[in-house]
Amino acid sequence: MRRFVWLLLLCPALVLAQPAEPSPRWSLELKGGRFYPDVEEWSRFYGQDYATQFGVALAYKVHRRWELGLAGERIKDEGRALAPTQGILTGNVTYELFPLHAYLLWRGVFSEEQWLVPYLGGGWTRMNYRQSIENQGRAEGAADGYHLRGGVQLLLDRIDPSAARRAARSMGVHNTYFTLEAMQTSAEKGGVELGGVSYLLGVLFEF
Amino acid sequence: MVRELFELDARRMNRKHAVTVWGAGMLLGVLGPVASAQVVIPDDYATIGEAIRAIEAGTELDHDIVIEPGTYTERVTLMDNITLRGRETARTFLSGGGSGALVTADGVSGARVRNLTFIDADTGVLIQGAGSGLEIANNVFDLGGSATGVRVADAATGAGATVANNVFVQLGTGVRRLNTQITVQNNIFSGNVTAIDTPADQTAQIITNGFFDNDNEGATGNVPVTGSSAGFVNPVARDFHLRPGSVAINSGTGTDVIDATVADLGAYGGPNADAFPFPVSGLGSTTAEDNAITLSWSENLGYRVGGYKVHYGRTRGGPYEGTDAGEGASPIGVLDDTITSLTLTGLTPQNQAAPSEAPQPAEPIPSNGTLSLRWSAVSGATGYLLHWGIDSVDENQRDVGNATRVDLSGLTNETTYQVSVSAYARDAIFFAVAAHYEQPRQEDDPVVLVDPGSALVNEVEAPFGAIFEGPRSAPVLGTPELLLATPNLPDEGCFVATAAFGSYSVSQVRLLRDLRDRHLLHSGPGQAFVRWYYQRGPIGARWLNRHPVLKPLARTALLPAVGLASQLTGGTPLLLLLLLAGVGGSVGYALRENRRAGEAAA
Repeated sequence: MRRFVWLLLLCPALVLAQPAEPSPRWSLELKGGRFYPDVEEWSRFYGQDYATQFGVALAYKVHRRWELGLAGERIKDEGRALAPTQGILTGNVTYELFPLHAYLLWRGVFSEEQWLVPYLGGGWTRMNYRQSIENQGRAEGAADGYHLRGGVQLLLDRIDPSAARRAARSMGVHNTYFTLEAMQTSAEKGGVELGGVSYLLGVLFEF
Repeated sequence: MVRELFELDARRMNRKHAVTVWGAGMLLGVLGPVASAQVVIPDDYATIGEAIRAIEAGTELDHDIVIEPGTYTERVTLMDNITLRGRETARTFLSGGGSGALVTADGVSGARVRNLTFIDADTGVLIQGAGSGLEIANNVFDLGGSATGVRVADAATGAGATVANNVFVQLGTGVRRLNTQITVQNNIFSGNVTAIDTPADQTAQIITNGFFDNDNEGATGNVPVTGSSAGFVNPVARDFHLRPGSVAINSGTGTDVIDATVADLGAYGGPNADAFPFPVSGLGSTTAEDNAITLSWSENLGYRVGGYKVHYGRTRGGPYEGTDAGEGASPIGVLDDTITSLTLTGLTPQNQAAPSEAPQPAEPIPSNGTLSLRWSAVSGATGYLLHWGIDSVDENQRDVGNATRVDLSGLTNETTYQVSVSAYARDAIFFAVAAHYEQPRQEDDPVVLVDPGSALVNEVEAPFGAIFEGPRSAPVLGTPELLLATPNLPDEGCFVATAAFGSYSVSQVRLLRDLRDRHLLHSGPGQAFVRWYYQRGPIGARWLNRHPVLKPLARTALLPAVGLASQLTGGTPLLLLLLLAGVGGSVGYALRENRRAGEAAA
């Protein structure tokens, strides 16, 4: 037990004692997953309780553990509209969201070779929307709001170090991560909440 | 004997000689090299690459690969003494899916690439290595803006090669040549950035090519043909046949296989051109009277086209073996290329019985001003009649052809319609039209159309005769209405109220929305007003946004409506009082703003 306590105490010291490594400044992430809208009875109109989401994020590390980023995403689902007086579902609806995020992120990175990096962040969200109803036209607009995000990044370089070195030499990619992220978004328009919860998988390149 | 005939100097031939030679030339053009059997793609091999590999492996002895019309997405590497040729230049496409070289000739000798249209790649034909005697003839290179049609990789390449009677259109570079060993002859370069890219001291063996509207023609060689336009029939549809009067007609070196006159420039001239006119399009029909149909089509503007043959029959997709028209059995010749319609009379009705069953319609699916209808198909029916109305299904009728699902639009929301469907039987013929070249002739000689005609790729069903209607279905009821999507989102900036109050979500605008949804949409006049407002509202909103100084006045004008909405939708008296107080405030504010504006203007 005493040995374990010593080990725990030594861990941060070992991390801090590591020689300084060149740390990449930029990161580019491609991600996709599911968006669970914060709308009641979503599955009644769209068939399931989530929509598909894809996105890309570009971030700059102002400090080793702090980064500022911009992200753009697309969320899309297709479903049916309601004929209100007859109470039946009819007419195709295409629902699309194009959120833009500006965010500040803290990453729990203590070594460039750390294989699991937790992160947490949040920021401003501009939620652009577009909704088309068959035979009836289209509604477009935007709402401002916020988002919170958190997740973990799994360093893939450790799986194949030689490939990682080649990527660094030929393309300037220092680290490649597999990311798992959860994000809560909120943006209200006319009493309607456009946000929801997203669960995203992605690949992140640091360069 | 045939080859000797083609050696004749056609410039010195009189027309009668030309007619004699033309027959033999047509035969050669259609049948191709006589000595060699053919490998046909996709009949014998699914892809060109498979055929070449079989020839290389020795399992296939024939070296003449004929490619039937279609689009083939593959890259081909040639081998010695192989002939790769499309059946019809205009309809046989080799596609690269956007990149790479479509055909690579790497050190091969005696290979031929003919009668193909190259599309969607970086390079059409890439010539490299120490081969000899390559022939690239009668192709169209329509690859895209930065591509190269024929590219030679290095200065030691291309001995004895010929690039003849091709069309290079809208390319980055038509032909990139590094020495004089490649003869470039009878081609048309149209709309390219650079037509022929060759070193300044290597301009020999460039003979009688046409240059039209290129940014940079490069080396134009001997006897170039120039002008503002090549005179293609329709480049957009990839019809690169020549129109009457084109300067590229009879301007080349050698002889045309089609009509045995001096060779034309481009893909349909010279000794290896295919003999097919471009397919006829724009087919249509109208019923002239009960047993007569007028058929129509678009004119084929190719200069060799002398007329058409109209094929008709009773079976969809052919064979077109009709015999009952008063104008003759199928095909009927039209011996004038400018005539583009034909009335078939005296057609014999073959069907005099109505379908015995009624279609079974499903319940109509309502949407905004529309009912979506579906019904079961009825055996023996050639079409369906839709009957609908508010009080009776006899109020309206529409022939919907042989569709079994239709959107009935232009209806009034919140109004219930009765809809019934009936099946009918009616005679019809199916027809297609082929363009044909005419046999060369003296001025007063009659027109003689020659085979083969253009491919029968377009067919039209032409109904005629009486309609024999079967029983109607029992009426079904449907009520169109405005639909609500989830979530119910606003279209920003579309309405005067949103523009006037500055936000879609302020309480006044919400009250007006409630008024629309809970009252206006439930009455005829209200719906009419909403429709009018949806058309005009955006215009007013945009105008108001351009003149923000008038927004206080607009808000004032809207306040009575907001007050009414508040009462009708259950708003509190306090809100009404606030609104009334707001009227006074807004009027005062508006007057002050207008006074200030007036003072500023003064």
